[in-house]
Amino acid sequence: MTEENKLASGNLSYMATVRAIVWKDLTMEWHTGQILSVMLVFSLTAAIIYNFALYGSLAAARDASTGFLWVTILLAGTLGLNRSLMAEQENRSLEAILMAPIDRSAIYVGKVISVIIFTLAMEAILVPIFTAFFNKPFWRPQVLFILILGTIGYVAAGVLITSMTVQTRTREVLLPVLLLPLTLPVVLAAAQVTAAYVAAVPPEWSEVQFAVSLVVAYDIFMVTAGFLTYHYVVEE
Amino acid sequence: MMTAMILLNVFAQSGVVDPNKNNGYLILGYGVMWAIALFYVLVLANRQRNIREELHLLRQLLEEDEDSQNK
Amino acid sequence: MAERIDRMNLNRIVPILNWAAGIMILISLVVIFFYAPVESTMGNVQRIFYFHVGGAWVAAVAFFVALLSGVFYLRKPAKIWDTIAVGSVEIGLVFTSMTIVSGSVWGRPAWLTWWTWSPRLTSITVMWLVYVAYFMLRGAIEDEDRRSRFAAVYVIAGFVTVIITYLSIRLLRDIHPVILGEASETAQGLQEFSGIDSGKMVISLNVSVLTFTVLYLTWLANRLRLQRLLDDAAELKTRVMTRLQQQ
Repeated sequence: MTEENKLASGNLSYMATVRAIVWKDLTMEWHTGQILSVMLVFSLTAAIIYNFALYGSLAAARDASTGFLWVTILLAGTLGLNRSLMAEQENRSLEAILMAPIDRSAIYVGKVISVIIFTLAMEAILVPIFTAFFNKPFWRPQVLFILILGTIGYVAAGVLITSMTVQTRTREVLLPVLLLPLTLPVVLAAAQVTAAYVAAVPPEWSEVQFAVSLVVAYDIFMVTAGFLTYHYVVEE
Repeated sequence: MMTAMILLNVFAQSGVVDPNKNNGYLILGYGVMWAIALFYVLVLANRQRNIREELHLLRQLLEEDEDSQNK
Repeated sequence: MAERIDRMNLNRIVPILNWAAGIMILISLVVIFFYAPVESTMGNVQRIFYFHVGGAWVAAVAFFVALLSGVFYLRKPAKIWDTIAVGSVEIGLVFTSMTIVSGSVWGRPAWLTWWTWSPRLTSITVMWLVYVAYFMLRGAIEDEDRRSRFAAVYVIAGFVTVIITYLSIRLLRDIHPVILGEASETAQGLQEFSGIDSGKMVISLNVSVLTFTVLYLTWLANRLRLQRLLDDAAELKTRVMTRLQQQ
């Protein structure tokens, strides 16, 4: 049985539903590569542009590199979210899933997990590239940690918002308008922490404490909000 | 730099400060604040006027229609 | 509860509130300019503070009311909740704009700059943007029920920016002063002005907050009445259309 048939049959438990959705997304991506290819092409092009934008001043480029990294994640993320959730629209696979009596939040959790995986995959490629281009230690474990934390919050908000915008007329245009302001708090805070940990002297915990707590608090809030309200976004 | 300027300001001001020194900003601040509030009031009033006119027109239309049908 | 709000006679309540708001504004201006003491380090310009803080506080209240309306709408859809949400977001944006602008003007003489990307100013700007985007979301959806539903979800998610803004004001060391609570956190010359625990300032502040709260309720009542008129007009329009089609 394909994953969709399994889902539509209504025989799955909550966790099995989540796993089925994640597996469905991953296998589809393995075969088509739509999502990652778009995200990677965009982010690599962007990285090259940044490099040449500040060609004149190496120091300025290095200082701005953290900002560049997070802007790239932010923008490539909207592309990935769009692709991932529009694929559901186009294939009408969501309708099949919705016919089964599964709690809608399971769909949300499944989509969040799969998009986080895709985004982290992209970031895994960006980190060495940015480290090489800008000569800054983005590979430091604290940086990786905050990248993961920030991505969680970003995707949690992203899946919720994108699920709404794909149902509107203006879709791709509307998504950045809605998602960018909403995710600025977590992205700005995470960028601040990233900048602190790629600096020559690693920061004291007290310096980054507030920003990290903000990211964690945002993550918890967004995942909860999405979990509780997703039902109203997909139900007609 | 900012901190130094501020601290310098404080030391310079310790004791005698002219309370009316920045009154221009006071007026400006209140002015723009209430300008924004007034703007919203005007927008609301305008929308209300327009919709009342429209309602009046619609009611008239329906009345004329009723009259012509009753005749 | 929705039905009770729906049935309120707005035509009587609105004029009363309009008068109340006008009177409160006058009272608060008198209190701020004649009752509140002169602040010793900044002088009279500090009086902006009363409406600056009042606006910030009521904006948060408005956005919270919008959140509640969103939750109520999702649990049991009724047009009134959607209208309260829209009105509250509109009014919240007005108060937020007033706060940002008054803060900027006050900041110029106090910190010698019109603007700085400190955490609190950044977070309130983000909050402003999030709620402006609310109207873009609404504009993009034609179906009424879906529009209200998505808008409700959005005000719930968007409230995170309100929490962050007000948390950062209380928790962070920033150029922006902490007013209530421990003075030790941000005491740094001009950034903390003296005498805030002076009773007169607190009373003046409370009067401003009360004034803005009344103003919020007044504007909301007007907005609710406006929506009722809009709904009446829409209903009449459909009746006119059906008549025309019959002929």
